[in-house]
Amino acid sequence: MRYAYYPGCFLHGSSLDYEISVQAICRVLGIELLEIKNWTCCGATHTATITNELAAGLSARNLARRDGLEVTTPCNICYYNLKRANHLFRDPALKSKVNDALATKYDGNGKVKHLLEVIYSDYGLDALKEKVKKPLKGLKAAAYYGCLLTRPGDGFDSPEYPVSLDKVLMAIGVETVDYYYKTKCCGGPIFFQEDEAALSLSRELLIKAKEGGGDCIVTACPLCHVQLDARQPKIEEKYGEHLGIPVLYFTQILGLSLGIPPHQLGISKLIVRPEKVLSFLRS
Amino acid sequence: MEKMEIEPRDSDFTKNILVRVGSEVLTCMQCGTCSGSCPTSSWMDHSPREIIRMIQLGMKDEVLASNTPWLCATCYHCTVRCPREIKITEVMNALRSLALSSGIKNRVIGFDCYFLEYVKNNGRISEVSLMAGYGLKNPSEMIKQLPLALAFLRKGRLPLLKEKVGEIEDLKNLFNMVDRKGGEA
Repeated sequence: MRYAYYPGCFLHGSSLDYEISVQAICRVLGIELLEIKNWTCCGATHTATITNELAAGLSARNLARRDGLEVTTPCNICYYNLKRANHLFRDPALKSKVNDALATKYDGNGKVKHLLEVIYSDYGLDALKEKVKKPLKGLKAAAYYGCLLTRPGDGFDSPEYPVSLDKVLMAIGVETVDYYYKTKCCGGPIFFQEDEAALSLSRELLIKAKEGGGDCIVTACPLCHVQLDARQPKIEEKYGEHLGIPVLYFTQILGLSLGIPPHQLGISKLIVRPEKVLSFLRS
Repeated sequence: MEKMEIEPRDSDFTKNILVRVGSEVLTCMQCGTCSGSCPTSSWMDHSPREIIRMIQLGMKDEVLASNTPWLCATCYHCTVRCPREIKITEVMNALRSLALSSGIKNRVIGFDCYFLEYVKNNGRISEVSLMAGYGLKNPSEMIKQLPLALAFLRKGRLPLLKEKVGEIEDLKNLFNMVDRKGGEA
């Protein structure tokens, strides 16, 4: 299984622990990730203000360099921007205008898959089950999808009631909890405009996941992860409450179940202490 | 009873949005599903539902003065649930673009422009370099981000060196050849 890999700026920056875990599990599962040469930023959450041409162009430049392979990314925002370029490229005038500027022209046919999709749909749950060495029995996780993984739609899972992340977790022996906030916004994209809103939204999510019975939250997006993990101390301080819910990337939980040692998954780089999760490794 | 014809105050504004986002905007029945689904509506001065109605009525100044498009988290809950299939998130994007091309200046536009300029010149984002540059002109913003930056630094999650990205001349082409400032549809 070979894919053109688009990590995105976060994974090469403050979410390098996510990147470490992505590389570790793909090595074990035999998924070959070929990083797109000289990839550039997809525009992140700043594509809203610009024209469709520029937004499409930022992503098309990368998709054009996929060397005929399907493209995969572990970031919800990159995933959204890359897919959006494909959608915008259906307009021949836009396609032509953007391609005039690009060194490598984009044909508009690049298939874009979130890494979760690669594991869920391409690798498959049965094959995944075979590789599990430490089933993390007893661990209850709140699968958190975020927004752009399943919306605006035409994706690999339901926008309203997705199940892919839950099923992947169940395949490795983790029990997932049902709670209302699986696809509610973490507030990440508006932390700059209105930080209070961003903190409030993430706080609701943390509380609901905990109330739902989750020992931890599992996420598939670096921005969601920063909001829920790195900013959890700030939320606790602002609202004067103790939450203490570990938040792991899905690749980290997968990695633990595959028998990869925690230090090879960037676990020590999490802000909220993950001991609660690690204790299930011994059971 | 006489039929009342309501002319939009600024029909060019209304038409602009319709061309960009689709004529479904005219079919909004004000059900409020969008506002009810919106995670940030309680911080907005006008709810998404109100904004759509204001667009229908051509209330350009009021719409562009509202904080609504800037608080849109692009979560797409509204778009997925709208019974009229109005692309409400794209409406918000269109309003942001329009604000930019109308010469409106605000914090978000300032940061968006700075971020994109950084991408144009460097290809990828180095968080330290990005925030240092932004912080020089906006020290209060820098101070806000410092605790998080330090937390990342302590965990070895803040690469200090910029990655060198090759072959990015076409990125400059892209920015130059393509009208960045919103403009017409």
